[in-house]
Amino acid sequence: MDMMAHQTNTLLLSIATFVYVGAMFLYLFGLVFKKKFLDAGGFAIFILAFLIETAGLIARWIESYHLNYGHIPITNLYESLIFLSWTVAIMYIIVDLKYKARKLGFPVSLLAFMFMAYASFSPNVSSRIEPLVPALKSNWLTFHVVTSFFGYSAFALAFGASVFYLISDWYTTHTNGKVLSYLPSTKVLDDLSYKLIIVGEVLLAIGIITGAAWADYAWGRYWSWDPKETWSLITFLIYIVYIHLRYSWGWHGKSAAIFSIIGFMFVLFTYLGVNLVLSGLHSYGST
Amino acid sequence: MDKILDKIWRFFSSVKLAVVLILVIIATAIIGTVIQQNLPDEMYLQHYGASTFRLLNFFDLFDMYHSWWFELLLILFIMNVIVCTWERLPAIFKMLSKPKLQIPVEKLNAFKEKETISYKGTKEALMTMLSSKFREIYKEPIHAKSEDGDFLYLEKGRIARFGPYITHLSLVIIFIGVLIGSFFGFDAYVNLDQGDATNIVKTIRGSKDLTLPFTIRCNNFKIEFYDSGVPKAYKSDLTLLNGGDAVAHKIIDVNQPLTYKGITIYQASYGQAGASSFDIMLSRSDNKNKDDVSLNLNQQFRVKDNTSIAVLDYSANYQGFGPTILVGIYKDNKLQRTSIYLQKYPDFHGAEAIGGYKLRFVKANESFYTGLQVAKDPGAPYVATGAIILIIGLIMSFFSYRRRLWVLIPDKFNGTFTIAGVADRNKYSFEMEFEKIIHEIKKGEK
Repeated sequence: MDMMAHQTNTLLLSIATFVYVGAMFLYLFGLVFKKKFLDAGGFAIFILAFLIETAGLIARWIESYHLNYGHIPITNLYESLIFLSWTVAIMYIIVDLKYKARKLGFPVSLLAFMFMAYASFSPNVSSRIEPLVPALKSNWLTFHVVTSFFGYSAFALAFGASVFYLISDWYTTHTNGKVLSYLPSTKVLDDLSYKLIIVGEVLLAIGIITGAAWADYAWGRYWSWDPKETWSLITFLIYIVYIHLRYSWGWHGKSAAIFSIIGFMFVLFTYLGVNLVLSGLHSYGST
Repeated sequence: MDKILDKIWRFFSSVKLAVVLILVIIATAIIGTVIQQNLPDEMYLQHYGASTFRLLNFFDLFDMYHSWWFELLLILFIMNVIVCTWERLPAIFKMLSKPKLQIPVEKLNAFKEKETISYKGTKEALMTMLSSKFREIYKEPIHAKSEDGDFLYLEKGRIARFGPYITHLSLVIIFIGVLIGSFFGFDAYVNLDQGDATNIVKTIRGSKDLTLPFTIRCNNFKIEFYDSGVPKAYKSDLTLLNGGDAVAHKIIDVNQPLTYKGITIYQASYGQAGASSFDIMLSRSDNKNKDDVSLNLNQQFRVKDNTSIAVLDYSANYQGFGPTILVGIYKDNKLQRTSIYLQKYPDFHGAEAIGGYKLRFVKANESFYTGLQVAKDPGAPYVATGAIILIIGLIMSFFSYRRRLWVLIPDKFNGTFTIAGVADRNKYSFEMEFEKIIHEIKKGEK
């Protein structure tokens, strides 16, 4: 029984990985052939991948109870990569419903696929369900991880919008003012990227604060300049600079898009780089 | 003198300085994540070599977040935030308390968002229509008159103008909390064996002895492991004593500390204090008589008549054979010989008997000490308050923006009126909103 359930969750998650690839190609064809039905198809397949992934996560959660560990599946590198792709997917679905940014499906499904493929196929990432070490047994865990990851996701989408902005802008300047009709207008992309960054910034701030509160409950120190803490603060500050440049100097358009792309590199390093390159308290990056 | 002060003031009141300071803080903070902080000097020496070590040490890079220059950067940043806020706040209050209800026509015409609409009706009818329409779709307009005509003024999202100040204020509150914590708080640790008590703890930074106003006694320490050997839980049963009286008692867990008189005791770590006792089974060769005994290290146990044994040494993993004890066999209290017993291979010693008894090493009862963190931080509530205000400030600043609309109905009404507006930021969102408003107004006109 245990063995079965365990296979179910990883199997579902592997299937979801491939379905995301399917969505990615439909979105890509949508961009190349400029056909609306391809985007719609991409979105439908994307939703399917998202639902399979959700089922996989739930199966994994249940499985952890069969193993008598009983914890939310966000506690090691494998789970965190899957969870990140899941939050990116939700963020995209919300943004699409609110702002009609369906074209972002391509970078989003690419990111979702990459995170899941890394989780599923890297020999360095174990898909085993592991018990919680005492320090992680806290209600703050869920709140801290969920807010931080939705923050990361918002930055990821802002990154996608900014890349599209640069492509669109590049096309316009190199074709004497023609507009890439199949991408949202640069105005929309610039605004979307900004909006996602402020959403990400609030979520990241809450993530940092809940992490600090947790550390205070567990160790009596809300801040200890652990590399993960420091890098999350650095990422927060990078986007704070972006916001001040935008508010006080009116930065927008190309310079803001470049800044947003650089900002996302900081997000990636905070999420993965710190664990893979540096050493510290957040153990999920170790193998 | 005043000039210098003025210059300093102006230096600190610039947003440019804030951006530069943040970038410098980012750049330097990265150093401390690349160079591991607060390791023993020997480790740095080994890793970097003597000359690099001296250079890095000179700049306090092994404890850089507490170095004078990094703290100076943070202080400069806070001063910058305070001066910036002080400088701009009065103007903002004035701006918000006395909104410009009417503006010159040239200014109105210069706005990007502007629309002139025609209306077939009297001026009075138009005013009534606009008032009710705006009330319905936007908000109640304020009516004003100027030499150009009648103005309707609408403003939304003024809360956004306060957001940045709330946010900046929260940083100051957090900073005050950090200062209070660093002056009136401490961060220390103590390791306690089961049954031990102490009122002396060691500070983490500087490793100085600190006397607590009470004594901590560890009644019991328990550690549970998962099958994989990963710790599942560790708990210390603590009693706090004051002058011999128990004043507090709690079994603390990693996320369940004990607080007494502002001082909190956390379950931080544990360590192996060695094996405290060994369970041994003695059985007669005919298996008729069994005896389970538990022996401490070096404790002699009489097996029979003048023969006794004692556990002399213990290894958790002797040459890959697992837990092993070294047993001494005594006759008339004189050591005769020694022999090793393996927990995993009870038959290793075959039929060799001691005074007619077979000895079997059942298990070692390992004893652990508990690692407690003892901390006091009277600044923490301020930091927490500041953090909550920070989030409120960010939400106020980000998810709202101030925009103003003016409607000008000229005195010499010729059947047209003008709507124009401007937003402090989020120009694109405002463009959309303005379009919608114009659409609604035009609909109402019909």
